[in-house]
Amino acid sequence: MNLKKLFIVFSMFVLVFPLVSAGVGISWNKETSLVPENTKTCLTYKVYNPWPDDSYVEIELSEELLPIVSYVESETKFVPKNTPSSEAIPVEFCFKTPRIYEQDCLLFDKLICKQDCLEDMQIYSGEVIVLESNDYKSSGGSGGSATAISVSAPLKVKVQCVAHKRNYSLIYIVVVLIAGILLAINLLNKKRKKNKK
Amino acid sequence: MKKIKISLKNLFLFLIIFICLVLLIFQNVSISGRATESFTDSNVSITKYIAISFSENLSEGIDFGDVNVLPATSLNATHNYDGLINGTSLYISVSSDSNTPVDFCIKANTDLTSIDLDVIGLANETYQNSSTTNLTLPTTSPEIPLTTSYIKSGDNIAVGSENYYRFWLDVPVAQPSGDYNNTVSFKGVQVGYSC
Repeated sequence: MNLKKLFIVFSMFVLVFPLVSAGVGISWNKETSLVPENTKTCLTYKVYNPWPDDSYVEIELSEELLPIVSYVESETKFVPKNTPSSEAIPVEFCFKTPRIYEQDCLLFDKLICKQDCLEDMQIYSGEVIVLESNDYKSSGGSGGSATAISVSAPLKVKVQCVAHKRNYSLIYIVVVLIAGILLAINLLNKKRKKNKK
Repeated sequence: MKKIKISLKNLFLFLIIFICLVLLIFQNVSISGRATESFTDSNVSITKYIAISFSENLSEGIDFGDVNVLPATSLNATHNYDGLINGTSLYISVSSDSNTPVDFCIKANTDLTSIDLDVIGLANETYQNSSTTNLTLPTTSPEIPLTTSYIKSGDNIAVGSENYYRFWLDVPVAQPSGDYNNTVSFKGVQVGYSC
């Protein structure tokens, strides 16, 4: 009878407090980011660990997002045990969107350009992945499989095309410079002639 | 007379510079009218959070023990039946400090491979999962082979609950002796999202 009670108490304990190792947690409040092309932007995610063991985590981006990412804070982050979601630790990563939409340029494909934005919006869909960085290796005669755990948050990066008219600033600047130089030469000549007289 | 001619030339250059500067300003500064409407901000911030963890036995890896007789078919992982009421002790928990249910994905990085590069094909390493466990759950059929790409394993695992796993291994009769290893990865994703 006592053994039965003990078994019930043990069962309840295991059901309420499962025997778990350290884990990973991610908290996010942004799943879509609208970023103009050729612009650097940073996003912040938070990691936490509500489990009773300390853990080390790394943040990664899925392959689909790699073409637009310039920098990810990649060092292993220590997440203390019993860190609830309300006290999650921020992890920032930055990316620079590529120049993907067609421009109509008059000079060298780069200068005096206009952009009509007739193409469809380019969207990169992927994930921000938090991995527990501890590698567990199994042993045994016939070997076996080590295990790895991760958790992810979806992220959609919409690359915005910003339409603009042709920018003639360069031409104006060049004309101002030429006119300025000619004016300076004229004034210098005038001054020189005055001095000769 | 000559003096006036030079001044006109300079005046013309001044005029060009002035016009170009005005055009440059117009090109780069947008002029807007004065707005007369009043407004107030409306804002909502939605936060989602998920935390998952291996059971102690799953964190130590999936071990199939020693194999002495070949072929071996549907060899049980050592922790397939050592949980409560003969359930499995290989599971992933979704913390109660989460606010969205979780789908689980599973993959292996490669075939089970020995140090001498002999392999047990990944199709021979199989699993089944369930949201509860006992002697019959997770079921022994169908056994689902692991793949090198993530595939959905657990669906819609509620906050504060577990996703239980059993693993099996088939070892062909002509398999060279040795220790074979690989890494099995589990990923938790927000319910309804693909792996």
